Amino acid sequence: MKIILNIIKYIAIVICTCCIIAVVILNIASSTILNKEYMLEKLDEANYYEKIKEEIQNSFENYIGQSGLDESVIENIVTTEQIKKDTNTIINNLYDGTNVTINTEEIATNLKNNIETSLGGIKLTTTQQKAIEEYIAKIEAQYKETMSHTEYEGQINNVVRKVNTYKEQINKFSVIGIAVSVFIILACNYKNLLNTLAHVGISLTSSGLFYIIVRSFIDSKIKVSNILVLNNAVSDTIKNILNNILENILNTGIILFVIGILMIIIGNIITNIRAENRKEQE
Amino acid sequence: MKKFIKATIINLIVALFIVIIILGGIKISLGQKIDEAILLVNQVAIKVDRTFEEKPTTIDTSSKRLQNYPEYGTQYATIEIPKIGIELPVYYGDTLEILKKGVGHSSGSYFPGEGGSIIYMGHNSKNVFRRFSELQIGNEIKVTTTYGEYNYKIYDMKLINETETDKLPIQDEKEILMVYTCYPFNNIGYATQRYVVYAELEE
Repeated sequence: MKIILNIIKYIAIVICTCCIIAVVILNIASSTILNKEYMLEKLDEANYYEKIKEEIQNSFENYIGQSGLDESVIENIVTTEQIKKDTNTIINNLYDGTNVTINTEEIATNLKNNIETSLGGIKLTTTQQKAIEEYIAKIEAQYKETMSHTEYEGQINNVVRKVNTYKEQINKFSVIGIAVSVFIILACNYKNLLNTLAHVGISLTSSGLFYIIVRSFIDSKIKVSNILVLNNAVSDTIKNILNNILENILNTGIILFVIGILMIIIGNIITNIRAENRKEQE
Repeated sequence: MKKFIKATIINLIVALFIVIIILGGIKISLGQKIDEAILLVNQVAIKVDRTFEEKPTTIDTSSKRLQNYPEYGTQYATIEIPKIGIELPVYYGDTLEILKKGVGHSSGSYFPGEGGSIIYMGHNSKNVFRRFSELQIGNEIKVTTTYGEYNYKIYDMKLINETETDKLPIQDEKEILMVYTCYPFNNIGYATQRYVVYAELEE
């Protein structure tokens, strides 16, 4: 009977550990990459808006050489405020699936005005007018592309939607799993309920150790500081977010590990003292 | 006291054992996916190793193949077109960023001396190829690379659409230099046509 109880107890400890790992991972994800406000905050921290403005300006410059237009025509056609507004739109699209397209009307108007000023009112042929319209359309498309990288928007939105759908269910299931496994451990320790402290401590220590190992594994396999995705603005933001998540994983791991060890030590001390008292009484 | 230490050690061993079981379970069930994910991330986590010694580019004249190709984005030659008074740096690569600096060398084409199609491109701005219209058949183009000098003679000029890539064929039977720029030369706005100058190597 004792052996069966022990087996059940250790199975419950393993289940409890798995559920703690799941709950912690979901909480880290929910408060970081799945959190719209967190993303906006990180974009701000990484100075994303200014960096992306620079990228956009550089991408516009690529069209100047062959256009026959003066470089001044692309100056000040995009403002940081507009970039902020459009970034918000993109983030909303990604997280809420709003599917709102970026409005480039203001850029087109600013560019058109700059071109007209630069040309100094010279009379344009129909072909030239058409070429200018096409040029403006190219610049608008370039802005949209640098801002949102449309080919990834749908994919990211699908992933976010899927993760959000399963997140709540997994979280609920894990919390119930923790409660049930703790109850089973308690039931198995019916003769000495304080033993539960050490056994739950084992779960916490395991979870903590798991996160510390995972963090070390990621560190050894991936060089976050070398990540280069799309452009510097996006890369810096991704690096910032990944470093923050890895830091969260390590901190949570250390906290769980320390609490777990303390629970094991305290649980065992109490059990030991009680056993000695019982011995003395006998 | 002994009992307490023993119990604590056993509990810690159990904790470690559980971690091993969980990690083992993850490795068995998701190992391949994790490896793929790491590979994917490492594809974008570029590690630039600049500790190697850069060797100069040379050419094996018998096999007509370069040894130690120039690094992408670096200048490896200059192009000179005396007829229109041009001398410009040539960079290996064809990004718009490169074209801002000078003449780009299409990375899919051959290098001078390799005996195949060489494709160069440049903007039609005043300092680059705006005066292409003045070129005539028989005019010379000189390419001075870090491994040798090559002289080409213009034998044809064509106006093509930006999508007509078949007009810039890649072959390895004859050394042909194709230099193109946007057309019209003094256009305003987006140019959809390209003006190509074809030149053959002078033996």
